[in-house]
This record gives sequence, structure tokens and C-alpha cells, in this order.
Amino acid sequence: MNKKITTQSIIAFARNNLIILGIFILAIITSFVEPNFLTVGNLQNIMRQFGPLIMLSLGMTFIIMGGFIDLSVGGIISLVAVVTVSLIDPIGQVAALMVGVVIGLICGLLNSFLIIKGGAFKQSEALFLTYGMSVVFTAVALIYTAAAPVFLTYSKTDYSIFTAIGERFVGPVSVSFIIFLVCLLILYIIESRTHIGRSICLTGGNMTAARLAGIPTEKTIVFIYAVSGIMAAIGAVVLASRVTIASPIMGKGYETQAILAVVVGGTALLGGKGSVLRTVIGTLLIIMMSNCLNLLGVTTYIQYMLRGAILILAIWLDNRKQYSEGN
Amino acid sequence: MNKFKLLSILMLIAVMLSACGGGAAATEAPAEGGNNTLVFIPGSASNPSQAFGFKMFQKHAAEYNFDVSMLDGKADVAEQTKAINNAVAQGADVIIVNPNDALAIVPAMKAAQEAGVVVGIFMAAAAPGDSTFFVAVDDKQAGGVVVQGILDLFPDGATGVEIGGQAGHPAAIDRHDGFTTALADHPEIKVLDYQNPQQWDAAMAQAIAEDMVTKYGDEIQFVFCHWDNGATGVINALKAAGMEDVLVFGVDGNAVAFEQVQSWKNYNSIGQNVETIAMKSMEIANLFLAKDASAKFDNIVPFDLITKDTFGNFTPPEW
Repeated sequence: MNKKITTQSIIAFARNNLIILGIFILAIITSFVEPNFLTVGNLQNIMRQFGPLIMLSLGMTFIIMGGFIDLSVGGIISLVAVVTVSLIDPIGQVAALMVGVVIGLICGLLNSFLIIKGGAFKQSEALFLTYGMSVVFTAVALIYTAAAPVFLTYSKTDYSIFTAIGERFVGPVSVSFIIFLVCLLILYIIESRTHIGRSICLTGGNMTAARLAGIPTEKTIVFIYAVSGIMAAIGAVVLASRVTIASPIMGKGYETQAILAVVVGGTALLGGKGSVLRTVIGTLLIIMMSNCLNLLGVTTYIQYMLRGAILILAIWLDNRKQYSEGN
Repeated sequence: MNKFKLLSILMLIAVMLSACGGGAAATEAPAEGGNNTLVFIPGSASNPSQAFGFKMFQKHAAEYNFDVSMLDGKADVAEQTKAINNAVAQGADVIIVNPNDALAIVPAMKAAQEAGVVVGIFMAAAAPGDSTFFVAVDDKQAGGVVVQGILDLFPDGATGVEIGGQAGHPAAIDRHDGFTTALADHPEIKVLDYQNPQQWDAAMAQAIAEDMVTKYGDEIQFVFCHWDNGATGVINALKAAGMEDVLVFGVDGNAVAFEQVQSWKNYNSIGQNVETIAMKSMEIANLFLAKDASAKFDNIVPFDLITKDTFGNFTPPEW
């Protein structure tokens, strides 16, 4: 009997963590086929590649837990990146970074204002509204730069503080990873130890019930979009400092990757349940999958297919879990 | 009511943006004045080279007696088809298109020609009959230039990697094909790996380069990256690994390329001179409007090879 229960629990665990197991197996295969996979250099690569996406994904976790979605983060990345890089020469590195984060915050607040004033309280309505805002933010970035990329001119100026974010290491740990740890700690405390953290889950679970229970749902919406905007801005800064070039369309595609990371991590797509810690695992899996497939020499087209298949599988598993819990 | 307010706010933002626009993405009505009208339809006005191309059409329009305007292809085949039809309806004499998909817009281009409009393809090749003419560099030739550059630095041969442009993009396919064809005569040059990013994104190129550096390390003596902005990511990856002697090739010859030629030890850019291509397009369009027998369908503009020795000979473009 005990043995039967153990087998069932193993099967249940495997079923609930199919994607994590799949990528774990992929990592084992890669480490056998490509010995360089487990070298310090490659782990540092993964750490650096992890930086921009995890920032967005952490912000997106609060949004999805709150029962919403934010497709504007791609546009926010583009806008913040070009403005920050272009301001380094005229106002200095630290001031430019601060301006970038403030722009992210303003974009997030603007999203929440439009959602509340427009009554877009359903996830589908928020999806279209934030998509529209993404187009607006990207258009502003295009107008600001006249569609040309903005890049750091190494041969003329010192950009040591800015580039340290994306390139430098403190011991074996990258600076962007340290920034991530600080953000994770703050967001985890908010999520698990504060009233606003509980409000996010309650709002995402059932907004009407939350409102009737006295939860300030509108303040919660403002909060989650503000966090998403700030995290997108931090992601943009990490990305631009890593790549050292900022294009007005560079954020394109990051919104779907962030949603993928959150859903693969196990946060419920319809809201109410989830955790930033789960998103860390989801993001790590996405970055590792890309790293493994590149090292195994898998072509780009197959990589797209796998990424799409994983998103479909994650949503299917999420729906199945919701259904079984509902019954 | 709430939704009405939301719609009003969004429309207000759109109006404000269009009011402060007027840059690359703007659509301008042709001016009166007896000149022929030329409508430029880029693949996407947000593409830096296309935005710069429009500026060059505007800059030289008077020399070629054109009034120039732009309709955005919005990186979408259906939008570009609609733009071609709109240009015909507006009474354009010449339409210059940078195709998002050369085959998909053929019916619209043929209809425009039947309506008496001269249709030119800009910075891409076309099949005879699909358009009146095309002006472009030959992306396949870029591969040959890279092979020659590798042999100049490594006469006995070398090993390296290729990072393509956006997967499935015609320019990326041609650059890869040209490189592969040129390599067939040089077995001493070995390409260890070839990957394409999902889009023309420097961060994606950098991630691919980092993974290639992990896999091949010092075996990499050269990197051929299909575009200069992507090569910025490649350089970052090489710099992080302390591989500062690697020969890097990019394509485009944009402002970033000029910077990299100066700051990286061995950087060469295969430049497509957008200004020259724009001027040539207007020159050829005029020949077709005048029904001049010397007008040719295929017009290939040679690449500029930008190196440490030659960069002083060129003016860095704005894009």
C-alpha cells in the first residue's frame, strides 16, 4: 500500500512538474554531450543572460497574480533604454539611470490609470489596453531617436558605472545578479509579509469578492502596475548596459517571454495564486533551455517551436490544475 | 461611459504623438509644384536604415525633380499591399518599395505598373516583371568579401562562427548563401557553427555569441555577424571572454560600425550605402519615366568595405 502511494505521489509530482523535469533532463543530456556546459564561464553566461528577463518576470508575477496582464513592458524597455543611454553624456550615468527608473514608474502608473478609469478590470481588456500602450511607448521611443539606435561611444567617454551593471562581477557573482537578489528579497517580503501582498492574491482570485471584503482593489492595481513599470525599467537598464546599444524596438518580444517565465514557473495565469520564487525557477528554465539548445547546436527554428510548445504545455497544465482544484 | 473615457484618453495620446511626430514615421502629402511624385514605402518606418533612406530621398528629391512622401509598410505584408494601392490611388508617378515579403506584394506591384506607375524595389532584389526595376547591393556578394577579409588576415586559413540575421529574412538567407558559396573554394576556412536569432536583436546575437564562445573558446578566430548592431553584442561576448584579437565582420556600415572599426582591434564592416541607393533609385526612376532605352531592371550598387584603413574615406551615416 505504501509502495503504491509512493508510486502515485511520484507520478503526481512528475505530472505537476513536467516542464521542470523536462528541462532538467535536457541539462543532464547537455552536460554529457557538451562538457563546457558545467564550466564556471558558462554558469556566468547564464547569470548574465538571466538579468534582463528576470526583472520583467518578477514584475509580471505581481500583475498576473493580481488577475491582470501587462503587454506594455516591451514598449517600456525600448523607451527606458533609449532615454537612459542617450542621457548619460548630458546628465551623467547615475542621474540617467534614475531618470530611466522614473520613466518606468510613470509608464506603469499611466497603465493603471487607464485600466481604472477605463474600467478594464478583466484580464482580456487589460491585455488589449496594455498592448496599445506598448505601441504608444515604442512610438515615443522611435520619435525620440528618429528610429536610430543609440550606442555607447567607448572611444570617447567612460561608462564604467553603467556597463558594470551588465558586465562586471563581484567575485563569481555578476552585478546584475546582485541587483536581482535585492529586488527578489524586496518583492518576496511584499508578497508574503504585507497587507498589499495579500490584497494582490485576493484581487486576482475574485475581484468582486475582494472589493466587498474591503480590499482596496484600485490601489492594488496601481501598485502592481507601478511595480511592473519599475521592474521593466530596471530590466531595460540591465539589458542596455549588457548589450551597450539601445534600439527603439529592442523590447519587442520580452513581454511574451516574461509571461512564459511566470506561467512555466507555476503562477496561475488567471490570477490569485503564485510567487516570485516560482518565477525565478521559470526564468532560469527558459534561459537554461536556450543555453542548452545553443550548445547542442539545435537550429533556431526548432528552438522557436520548443518555446511555443512549452508555453502551450504550461497553460494546458495550469488549466488542468485549476480544473482539478475546482472539482 | 468609462470605456468611452478610456477611448477618448487613448485617442488624445495618439493625436498628441502624431502632432509631435513628423519624423521618420510621418506620412506627408505631396507638395504642389510640377515635379513627379514619388511615394516611398519602407518595410517598416521603425527600421533605422529605412528611416534614414527616407531622409535621403527627401534630401536629394529636388536634384531629381521629385516630390517625396512616405507610406509605412508597418512590417506587415497586408499593410504594405494596402500602402501600394493607396499610393496608386493618390496618383503617384513612382513607388519605391522595400519589401517585407518580395513575393507577397507582387500582385499589388503588378497592378500599380498596369496603372502606369513606375515601381522600384529598394535595397532588395526582385524577379523581372514583378517590379519595373530594383536597386540594391547584392547580399550574396557580402559573403565573398568576408572570405577575402579572413584570408587577408589568416592566409593559411582559420576557424570561426557565423551569426545570421533574423531567421527567415531574405537578406539573412542571401548573406548566408553567399558566404557558404564563397567558402566552397576555400576549405582552409572552417565554420564551426551557424545560428540565427529570432529577430535583428543585438541582445539575442550576444547570447548566441556567448554560448558559442563557451562551446568553442579559442578555436574562434573570426566571427561573421550579419549586421553591425548585432556585432556589438558579439564584441561584448568576446570582450568578456578576453578574446580581443578575434576578427569580426558586420554588415550595414552604419554609425555603430564606424565606432567599432575604431574601438575593436580587427573589425570590418561591409557597408551598404543607403544614400547612394536612394539617389540611384531616383535616377533610374527618371530614366523609366522618360522611357529611356538605357534604363535597366537590375541595378547593383557595390558594397563599401569599411576598415581601419578606409573609414576616413566615408561619411558616417546618421543611423
